[in-house]
Amino acid sequence: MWLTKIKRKDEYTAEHSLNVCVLTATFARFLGHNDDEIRQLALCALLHDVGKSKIPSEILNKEGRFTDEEFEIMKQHTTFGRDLLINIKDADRIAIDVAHAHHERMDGSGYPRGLKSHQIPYYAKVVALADCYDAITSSRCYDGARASMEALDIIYKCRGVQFDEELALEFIKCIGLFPPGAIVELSNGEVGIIISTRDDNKLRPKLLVVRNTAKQPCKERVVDLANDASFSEVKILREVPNGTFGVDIRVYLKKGLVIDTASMAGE
Amino acid sequence: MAQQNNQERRARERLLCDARFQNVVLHIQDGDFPVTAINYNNAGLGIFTSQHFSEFDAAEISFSFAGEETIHAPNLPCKVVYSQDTEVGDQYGLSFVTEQIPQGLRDSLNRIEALVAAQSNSEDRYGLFSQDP
Repeated sequence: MWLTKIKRKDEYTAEHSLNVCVLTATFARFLGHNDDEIRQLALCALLHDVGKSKIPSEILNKEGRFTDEEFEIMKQHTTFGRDLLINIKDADRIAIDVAHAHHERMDGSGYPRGLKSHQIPYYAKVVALADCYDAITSSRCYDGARASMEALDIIYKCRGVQFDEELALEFIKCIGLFPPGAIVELSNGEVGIIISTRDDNKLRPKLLVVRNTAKQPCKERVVDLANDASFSEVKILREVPNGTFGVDIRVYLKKGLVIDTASMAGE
Repeated sequence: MAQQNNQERRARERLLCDARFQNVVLHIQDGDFPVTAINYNNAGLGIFTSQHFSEFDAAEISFSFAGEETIHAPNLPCKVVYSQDTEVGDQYGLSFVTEQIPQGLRDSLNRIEALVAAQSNSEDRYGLFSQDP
């Protein structure tokens, strides 16, 4: 119901909430939570930005930077979220906490209450990581997607200050250096799209090679870096943003490429 | 949240900044602000901050690199190559304006890149996966 409402007002927030929900569920499974806990964490993630439905559309959908005043209004979505959920009969108490506390920081400089690390609910710490990852990597209508590695760099560097240190490192392990859907350049010059990762060897995923050594379109083929002998000496050099070398992940998804995101959770 | 100018296509990979990057301060018209150094090469620096700044195109960045000897890189003129403000913090890609940087300081930037590269693991960027069976 809320998603429908926010989708009409701000499609980005609706999509972001769904992304954070899926990421949180994946991370929760990776952490070893049981099904009930995963469901509860996913619900918390889905509702974490519910307070944005109370933010004026002209601010929510503004292109370009927020003024200081607009930014202060945006920050109120945490309190609005708590107020909205607290007034719903039988609302999940943990979801209320997460909506209120997902922008708190370990060093006490977060908002709205400036909570210290030990005061921040565990579920809010979990959702905050998925929230950051999606905020950095997601694209809006006027923006190209940022690479996963940029988001992981930020999470890694801000661990212990902005994010719970132990959870941040686990989150990076869960996503992996090269998550499914990432576009990567190989040490032999070819370019591929990660199809699935292996829980026992995150550095040697399975990928679809889509560009040859001259970065030109080539006959596509699946390569399993962990098992393909002809690729035993080949490494992944780096992840590149979507669109680099003319490789647009959306084109391949439309063509039917299946990305095994479940492999991130070790399934 | 609002975002801008994200069309950056970095020519060279940036290395993950390690704990040797210290006292990283962004100098803009609003004042001087401590920021977190994220990734680096001798052409630029990626930074992240939870503070919200008004828009800026040009800035200076200062930092120290505390290796066996401490290398100071004060007031490096830089351009904003990309910026993204999100509700979790603001991300900037800064490109050093090398033609305005004295040769000695440019040499220092090269040396810092070499020192970071020497200790970085290009395959396992965060050192979290190499222990996997």
